[in-house]
Amino acid sequence: MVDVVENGVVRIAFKDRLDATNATEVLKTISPTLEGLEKDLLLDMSALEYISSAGLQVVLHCVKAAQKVGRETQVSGMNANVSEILNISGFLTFLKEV
Amino acid sequence: MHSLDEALDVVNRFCRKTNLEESHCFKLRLVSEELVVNLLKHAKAESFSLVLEKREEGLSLLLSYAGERFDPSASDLGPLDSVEESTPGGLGLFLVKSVAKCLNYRYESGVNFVEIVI
Repeated sequence: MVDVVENGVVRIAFKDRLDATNATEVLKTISPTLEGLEKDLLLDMSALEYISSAGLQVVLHCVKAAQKVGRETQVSGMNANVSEILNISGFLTFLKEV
Repeated sequence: MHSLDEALDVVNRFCRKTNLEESHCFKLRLVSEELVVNLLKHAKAESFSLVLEKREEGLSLLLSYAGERFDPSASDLGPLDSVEESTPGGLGLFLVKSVAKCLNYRYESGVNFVEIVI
């Protein structure tokens, strides 16, 4: 569902689906990482197949947590469908794709 | 049907049965999820019916539910302009309207009917 790895950045790797069926659980899993954030965030979506508005709220939570401590959030590895959803939702105006 | 899980099972079976390409399955799942989540929350519906069809003009989704009047086409929220001005909720119905070719709604005798073609 989600992996968290800390290196030069904090990398959060979402897997399979991020939607109304699992968003609460994913948020619960990553919350301790977001609360103690001291580095930039990288949202790795290379293994993410599907995202809905519930998943977008998780992404937004990550961005807000990083902004709160003056850090940036980057996103990588989006498939075409996930990228389209982030784009039409306006998220790619404030998320930097790497 | 009574839950999102049941609706998604129907969508997944329909995608396999009709051998839909991935991008169409993605949109069908997205529209179904967003509508069902909203109808359970806002229309206070206890059950609903979901009918999917593959037509010449596209994929048709007919959702009906008894409950309070809830018109998903009435939402006027757009994309997020900034993180600071973001508020929870509303994005789901914006996504539905963004991927739908057409969206029709009617309310008759206490039952909501939503028909979408994607």
